[in-house]
Amino acid sequence: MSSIQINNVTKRFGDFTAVEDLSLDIQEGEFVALLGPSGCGKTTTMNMIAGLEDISEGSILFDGQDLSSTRIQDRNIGFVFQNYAIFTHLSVYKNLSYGLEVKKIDKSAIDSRVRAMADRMSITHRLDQKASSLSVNEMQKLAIGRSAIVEPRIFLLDEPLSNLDASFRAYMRTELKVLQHELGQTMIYVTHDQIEAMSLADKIAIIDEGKLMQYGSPLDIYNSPNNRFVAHFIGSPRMNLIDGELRQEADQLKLIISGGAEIALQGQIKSDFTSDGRVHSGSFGIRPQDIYFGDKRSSSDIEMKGTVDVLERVGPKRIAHLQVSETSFIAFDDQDQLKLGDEVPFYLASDKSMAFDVASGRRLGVI
Amino acid sequence: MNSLELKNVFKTYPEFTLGPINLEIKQGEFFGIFGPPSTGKTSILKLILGLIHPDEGQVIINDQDAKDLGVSERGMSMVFQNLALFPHMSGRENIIFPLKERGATDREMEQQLNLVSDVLHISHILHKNPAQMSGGERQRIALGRAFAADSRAMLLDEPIAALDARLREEMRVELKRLQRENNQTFVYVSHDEEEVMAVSDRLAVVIGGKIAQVGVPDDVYSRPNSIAVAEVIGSPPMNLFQGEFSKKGNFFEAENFDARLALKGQSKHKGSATLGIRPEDIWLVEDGEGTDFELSIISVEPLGGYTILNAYLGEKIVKIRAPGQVNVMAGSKQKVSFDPRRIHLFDDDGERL
Amino acid sequence: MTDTIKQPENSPANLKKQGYWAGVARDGQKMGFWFILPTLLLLLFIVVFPLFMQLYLSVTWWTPLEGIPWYRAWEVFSWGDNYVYQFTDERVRGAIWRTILIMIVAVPAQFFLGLSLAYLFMDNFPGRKFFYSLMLTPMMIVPAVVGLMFYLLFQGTGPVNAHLGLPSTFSWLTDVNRAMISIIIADVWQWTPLMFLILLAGMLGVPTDQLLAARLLGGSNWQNFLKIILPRMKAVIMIALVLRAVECFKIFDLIYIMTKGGPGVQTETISVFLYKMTFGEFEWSYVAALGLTILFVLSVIAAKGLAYIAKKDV
Repeated sequence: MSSIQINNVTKRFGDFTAVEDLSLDIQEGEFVALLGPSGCGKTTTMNMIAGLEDISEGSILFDGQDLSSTRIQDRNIGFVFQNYAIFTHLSVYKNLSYGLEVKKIDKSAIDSRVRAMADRMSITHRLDQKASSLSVNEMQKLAIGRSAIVEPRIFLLDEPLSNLDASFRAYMRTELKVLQHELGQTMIYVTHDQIEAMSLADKIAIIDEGKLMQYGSPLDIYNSPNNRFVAHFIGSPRMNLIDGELRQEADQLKLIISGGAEIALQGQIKSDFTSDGRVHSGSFGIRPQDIYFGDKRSSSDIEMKGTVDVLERVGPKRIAHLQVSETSFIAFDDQDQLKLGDEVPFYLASDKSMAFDVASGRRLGVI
Repeated sequence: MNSLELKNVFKTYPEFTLGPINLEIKQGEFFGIFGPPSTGKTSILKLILGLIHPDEGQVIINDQDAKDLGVSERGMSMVFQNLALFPHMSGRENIIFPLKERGATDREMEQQLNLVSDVLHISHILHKNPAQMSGGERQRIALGRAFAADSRAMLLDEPIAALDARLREEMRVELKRLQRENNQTFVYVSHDEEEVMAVSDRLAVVIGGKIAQVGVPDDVYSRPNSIAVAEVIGSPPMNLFQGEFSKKGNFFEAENFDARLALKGQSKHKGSATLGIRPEDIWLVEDGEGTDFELSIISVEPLGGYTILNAYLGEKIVKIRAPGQVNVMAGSKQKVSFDPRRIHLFDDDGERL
Repeated sequence: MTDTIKQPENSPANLKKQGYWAGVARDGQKMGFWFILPTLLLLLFIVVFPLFMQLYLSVTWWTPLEGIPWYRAWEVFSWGDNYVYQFTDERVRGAIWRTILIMIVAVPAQFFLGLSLAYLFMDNFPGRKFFYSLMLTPMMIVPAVVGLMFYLLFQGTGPVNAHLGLPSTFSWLTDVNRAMISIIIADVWQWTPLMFLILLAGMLGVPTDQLLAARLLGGSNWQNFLKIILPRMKAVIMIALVLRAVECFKIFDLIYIMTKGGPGVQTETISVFLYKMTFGEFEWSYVAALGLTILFVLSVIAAKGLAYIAKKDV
């Protein structure tokens, strides 16, 4: 079980910089998610940790040790590929025992460890079958078991749940979390699904275009996003982000959104926006659960009017898309009252609103 | 008028039998088909399109039996699961292909192309070949090709499965908007329950080759008519407990409950049954309010807007969906309660009581 | 659900029969047939017809020296006599033995050489494309020219002896034992590239991430080779071996030019023997019978090999 320090790591492929000056500190036994959209550099980062790619600049230390000169087969790093890469020509048993066989461990020891792991992963009944005959879900378990059995110093998982069907994904999320706890393994998990990252990880590193956007616990990131990208990426359903021009009219600070509609900024959000005199294009952020209907609850809350454009049922809740000129706000229809085409007033809770600078993406009003 | 109808359709496969399938899809409806993988959902689409023929039953398109209609005569577009893009053509050529085949003018083709590329954000990759595109880009080109054809009906087989989670959420809103604006009939297959529930006007749940339930998402969600449906609808899915009614019918005893569940004269049923309760209908309580049970928390999934708790009730795993952010640690014990009116009861055959 | 009068065309049983065309409309199938027809006709004339001719001749005593045209060969019917004689003919026995000798020495040699070379070529290295083309040249050369090359090389006064410091009296091609060795060396030189080609293709077909996974699990290059690469190449290895083994029966140009089958009959393999019988002694009906027997034997070997491959699904 190892701690990992990623120090100012950069990776270039010719002219293209895949990862830029990335630094992360991962503690022993932590479950860290590398989260970001496709192509952001998260898989490249993981490949560098595994040694499958070399580092252009910077260093990666394992418990303080630099492994860049160690051969891949001697690094003892567990890796679960996105498509599992199980040995399809071998039986399930042989897949599990591979890592132990190459270490020349004696047969009876191998046998007991294989059976224990198969039991742990609930695939004992498949031990003698060919690995290619397994279902996708079972292959996933086999891939994890195969890597876990050699007790690697760290565990790297490359989007391991993306090939699974939705219901099994939810089940495996729980399993993985429990497994990680039991094994006490340091796990690094690459994904583009923020729900997965939020539910599994102790810490999330959000990466966009090769740069680290934010690194913290799921709730820290959710409650306090550093920048617009993070605010948009985390949260289900996603945060409403309205871009527009700031205009001062008499005593009023307004955000003019495309199509002409205005948001009259009040209270905390107003002072957040004005705190930085350089900002002219601002982004207003508010989570769907902080939009409400009915009566205004606080004087600093912002009043808007919109038309119900789309109604979605997401789980137990109904989500309404409210069209305001050319932008859309998503909000929860808790009372199940709205119908398509309704023109309704709604309120934005000012104290829960966030302000961002469009140009840099930086969050405003945070000390 | 029914745009599409499947009457008593059967199709035999080596592993299972698909059928009986009875579906009525109205014109302009966004109809979802949901079910676990490999249970015949794609086959239903292929039957509608005409790629395969039913062993029994009829496929009726606009009140006409489609038996003699070839695939190209049915006025439908399909987005395939494996996309089936023409590898030797650029994105642009792929999209305008159906229009070219139908003899559209250059201006019409440009118009459709622009319309479609704007919505799907693919203008910048139109010149590339499929081999040079990412999975998500390819998927959007395939969507573009089907949309550009502007057919009466669109059949979509997991059309956005290859996209990133975030992009999927945005795309499904766009798809719904497109469908409404063009007033097309959409038949949308997906194994992602949340996706299908969010976009469909009505949906059919297909389990084991049979239709388990058809209805509007609200109904299917709040009144699943069988255990099979209850198990697949809802993320996380419904918690199910096997148990028995007491002799007078006012208590329910499940194998793992420590206490008996007072039903307060709710049920007039006897014997054994399965009780279901959705994760969001269970809430955390402080001591001593009404019916409560003690659970030991296995893990906590903080998702920001809500939190999912996995807990043991005896030996069974129970999932709870709590609003907002809760201060609960894994390994702790928590008391929970639920509203007896929100329970679902199923008999031994799995049917709703 | 229960009563269907005839098997619907898309039922599982019919799908299996249709194979490749399963599920596609019937017109597709018809069109396919018309596309195949020209080739079928060609095969008919080039293969099937001559085969029957050969069968016909093999059960007669006919030779072109008889003075009657071949289609009247029935006049000298011999039934199975030719076939029986094959087994007692000392010369045939010897030829077959020598052919098999070449097979059991040359084929494994080519195989291991080809395998090692293929392994070297698995990963990219500078100049890989260049060396790859270089590797393939031996097999591109006309066998007769290869024969001539080695004929000159193995001369008593030739470069081989000079480099090995052997006297010019040390003969290769005319020595009773060493003639065979020279032939085998030439054959291995010419055909290792083919083995290399086939085996490399097989190796590259091994999924890279499985190899990576094996490496990450701690497997060394050698361990991964034995446990992952080789097992997955079973079908390809079988193809390569069967191909070359069957080809051994056909080696002609090389031997004829280097030693003419000599000294005496020391390097006379079955092909050389058949040639001499045909154009030297004009025993055409005997050759027909012998040819068919060999065809039969080789077909059995190839069929067994193919059956093995067909069963392999990794």
